[in-house]
Amino acid sequence: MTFLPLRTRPLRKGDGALCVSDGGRFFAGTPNFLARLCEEELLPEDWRFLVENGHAVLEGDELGAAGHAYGLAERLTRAGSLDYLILVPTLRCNLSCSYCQVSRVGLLQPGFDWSDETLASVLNLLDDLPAQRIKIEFQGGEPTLRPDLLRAVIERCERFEDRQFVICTNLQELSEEILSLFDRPDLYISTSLDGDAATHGRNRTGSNASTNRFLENLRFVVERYGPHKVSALPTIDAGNPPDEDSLIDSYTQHGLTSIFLRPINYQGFARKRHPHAREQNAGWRLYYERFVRRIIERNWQDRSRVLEESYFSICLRRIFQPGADRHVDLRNPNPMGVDYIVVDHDGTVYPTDEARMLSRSGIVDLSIGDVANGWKSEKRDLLNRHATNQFDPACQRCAYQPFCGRDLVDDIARYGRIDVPRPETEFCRRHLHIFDFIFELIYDEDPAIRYSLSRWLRLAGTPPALGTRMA
Amino acid sequence: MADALIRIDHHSDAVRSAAGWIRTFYPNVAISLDDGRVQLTSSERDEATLRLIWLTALANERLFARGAASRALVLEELVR
Repeated sequence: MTFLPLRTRPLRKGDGALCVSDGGRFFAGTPNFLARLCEEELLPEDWRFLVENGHAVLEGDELGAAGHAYGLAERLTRAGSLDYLILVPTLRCNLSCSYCQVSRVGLLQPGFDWSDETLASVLNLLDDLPAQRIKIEFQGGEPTLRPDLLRAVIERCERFEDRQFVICTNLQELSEEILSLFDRPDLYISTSLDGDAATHGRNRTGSNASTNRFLENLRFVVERYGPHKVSALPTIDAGNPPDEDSLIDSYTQHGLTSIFLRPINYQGFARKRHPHAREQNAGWRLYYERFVRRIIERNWQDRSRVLEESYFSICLRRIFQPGADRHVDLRNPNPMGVDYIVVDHDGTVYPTDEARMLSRSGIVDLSIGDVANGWKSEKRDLLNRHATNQFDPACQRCAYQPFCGRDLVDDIARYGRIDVPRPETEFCRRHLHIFDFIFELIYDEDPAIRYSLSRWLRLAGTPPALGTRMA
Repeated sequence: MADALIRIDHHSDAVRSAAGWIRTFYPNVAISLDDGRVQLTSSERDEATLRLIWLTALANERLFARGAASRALVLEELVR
């Protein structure tokens, strides 16, 4: 029997349906083709198209079957050994942002930094890692409050062939010691920039002096190192988002072109101070689309640089370039505590940073162990038994399943459980929206759209079309 | 408010299943099954789109039923 590993979904413009194979290959089918597919009355030319483009596997076609299996394998996460760590050397912070996800503690609060024993355990862990590459992201609190701990970890990683460090910092203080770390070519700076000075001050710094100091320091590091070394993310109040151009300009004036449009996360202080952050509504999704379309317009007007909304680009590359990005929040399966972990200020190990935040808020303890004694725990195994979308009945019928993922911690954070029917979850609604939008753009003939999509796919040129249509 | 009235031959498992999944994936589309027809109604979508929603849902159920065994086999071989 011929195997048709396809799932379909209407294209937004209503001019046909997207048809996606299990391996993520896709085409747009006409309504008449859909009708024939439903009635199982496909024409010879339909079959020819499907077979020639790898959307059908004929009985006895071993090469076709192997090709199909390969395509499916490419879509599945192959988690290797541990090589990505989020380290939280201190929970202390010199700011108090209204939506702080990690419920930071005050600058002078004792007992919220790594002890000598925890540092020793972290260094032992690094010594024992079998991987030849390492990526470490320092989070907090404000990690630059403990440059000594950062240095100890970074210097211990000299043995790795391929090293990348990211310091997530509010850039309030730039000491010589911190700058000497920043000077490393394998180290990158990640910060928050919520928009213009007024917005940023309202959300984060709480004073003009602190805002100005941050902006000055941001200008300084971009000038010293170049924009490639610095990334910034806004946190947006979805109920009151900033003007699109104002937000974009606040980034481009610093030479930053990548903007990860991130609504307030329903974690930490936000659970009390921003309760509407539990779910995003249609208003937010419309704003998101306006923002991306505005970026597309500006890219067309000024070809000297390429602006992007980072998560859109990640999802776009999930479609065309499986494995290109290693975004741990969007993958299937999504193994917990295997290739990436979070080590907290007290040495506790969590599978994700969001899990750390949930525990810190006292919602649920998702710790899976500690850095001294290990984390191959029953709790980790229990999480991993559910960390896939492969067998969910809703995902099995969804055309976007090959591109999508599974985020147990996000479900637990919002709903307190993981068995909410997928389409009722924010994770599913968010990704249905994004992928619907992406495919609408893929099949749009506007050259400005195709130009931006091609740049976000990091293509050298701009192909005449990015999606196939069945004749 | 747009309606799409679609004639179907009979209420197979696939038809009933498709109707169920439309309720799940499209909460702003009302769907009812009567003898020999399925009706979709929505204030947010036109008739052509409603027909497309029906066709994709039904196609998905037929493809799912036909392909389940093959999918399971491919996955089993990959995992092995």
